[in-house]
Amino acid sequence: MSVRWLRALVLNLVLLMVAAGLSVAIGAVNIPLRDVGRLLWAALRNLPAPSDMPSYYHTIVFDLRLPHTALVILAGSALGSSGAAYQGVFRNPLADPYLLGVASGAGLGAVVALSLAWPEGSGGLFALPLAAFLGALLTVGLVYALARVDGTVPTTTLILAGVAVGAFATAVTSFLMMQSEGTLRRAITYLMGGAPLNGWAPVVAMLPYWLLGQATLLASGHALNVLQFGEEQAQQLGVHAQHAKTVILAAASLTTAAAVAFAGIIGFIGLIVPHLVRLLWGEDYRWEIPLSLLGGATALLLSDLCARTLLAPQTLPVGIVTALFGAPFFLWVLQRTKRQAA
Amino acid sequence: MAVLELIQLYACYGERRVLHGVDLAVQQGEIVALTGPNGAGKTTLLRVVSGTLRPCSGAVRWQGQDLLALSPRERARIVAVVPQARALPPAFTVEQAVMLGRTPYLSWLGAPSARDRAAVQQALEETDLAPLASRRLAQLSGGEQQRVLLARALAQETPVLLLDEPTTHLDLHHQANILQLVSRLSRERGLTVLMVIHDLNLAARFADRVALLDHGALLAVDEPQMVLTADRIAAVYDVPVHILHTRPGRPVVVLAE
Repeated sequence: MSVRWLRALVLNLVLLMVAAGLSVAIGAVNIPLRDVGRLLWAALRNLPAPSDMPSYYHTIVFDLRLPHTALVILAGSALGSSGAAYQGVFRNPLADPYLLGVASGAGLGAVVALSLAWPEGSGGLFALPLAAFLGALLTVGLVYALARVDGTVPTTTLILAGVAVGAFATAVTSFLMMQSEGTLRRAITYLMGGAPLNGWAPVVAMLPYWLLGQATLLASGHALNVLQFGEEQAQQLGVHAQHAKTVILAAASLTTAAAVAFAGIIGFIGLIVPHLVRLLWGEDYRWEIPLSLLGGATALLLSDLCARTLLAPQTLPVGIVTALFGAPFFLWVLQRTKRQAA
Repeated sequence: MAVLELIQLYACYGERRVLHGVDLAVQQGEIVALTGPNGAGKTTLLRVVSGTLRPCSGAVRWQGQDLLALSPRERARIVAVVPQARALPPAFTVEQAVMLGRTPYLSWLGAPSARDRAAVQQALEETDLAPLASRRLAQLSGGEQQRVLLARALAQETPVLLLDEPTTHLDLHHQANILQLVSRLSRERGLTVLMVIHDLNLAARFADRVALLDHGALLAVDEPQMVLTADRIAAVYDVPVHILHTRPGRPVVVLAE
């Protein structure tokens, strides 16, 4: 186990904890970090909240901030590790977790649910994320089925099918949004990652999928390393290339679908974080996945923090913040690449 | 004694038949060079033997055992492939790349044991790559990259080695280098080698037997001087040639006027 990777892991853990702490402390009401710590410490020991702070601190921290922070951590880590996995399977640093239609499928599912006025009827609050989740999974399943040739799923065909199905889903989504005026605003907000649900319920709902997906991805590091030499060489080295690809993409898509369903469609995290990890620490997917997992959580926490504070008391959709930071980042990478080539 | 047997191999890409009933029996420790014109099916043959292409009929046996019925992992402990050095992942180090040769022996986590590290170290030393162990693949020359792929295959510690045109894109020095290395290692480790090679002279110089493939059919497999005759080469390659005999058993093919 190389020291370099261990140091990277520790660094990312520390950054994550700092970001999480800030996320709980900062908001419409700024709670000093020290008080956050004391509240958590008291809760851990099953004691009542300290009496020398406003009583609403406890409510804000435990009913609002902590679950929100947890949701953001789950979503960000899902996007980070899935992004790394997608980039590994497609051997392309421009791949992101939405390549096979997770985002467009989720968007379509959500807008269909909104058009049918589901949230007002049965199913309540969870109808929207559920519809988005199903939409995402059905879309990826369709893309996969379309790309299948003779028991193999060629990479190029997958990408083409993903682009085609994604475009179709987006078109239908736009059409539905045009037709139903009332739900338009809500749909747009959701599509930009601006309508995460409150409380612990979404965290609990997302957790099983997150655990299953992340565990699979964390175990796939070695297989991804071998796949970097191409599927033929991977097969010759003893890896069942088609199986590995399918399992990894399924896990990544599941995790991303859960993230998108409960946190909305947030771009750039799945694209940039693995890229940064690779730039800073090199390429080894056994480490890339966990580091992207942590980095994605940190990045989304910081973006969410900006979204909540930049135009306070208004909350920006997180997707706008990640895009705002994402574009300049890519310009910087472009400059760096140009300089290296020169 | 024949250890690697290709029995009545037919390979198809969809409707198109690419190999027509290839029969080949390779002896223990032998080096067989597979030659033939472009599109003859040489690489296809290697892909069938290494298990990445299912033959539409026929069998591949290793010491009597059906090689194609094995799982990829089991097969990778018997057959190692040295492909052409093309589009290698640039950020991997030499050591990382060679360690991947231990994949058939590693757990799914990929954590190497002392045994794995020893095998990698030996492979690096045999291919003269030890000083380059922490270099990234992108920083290596074509010849060095080809040696990395050879080292990876050696780290796999298999009794059979398949090479797909190991000398293409290499200069004369590196061509000689790599084939001398394969030849020596074959003798030292008792490796059974099947290598696809375009250069007829290199085939004649380094192989125990030469197999000539044309349009998916095996025309001849015998000692170099028996296979590489002027008539046969002219017929297969459609060019007139002279055969020079500078050393017994090692003909040299030159283009005629």
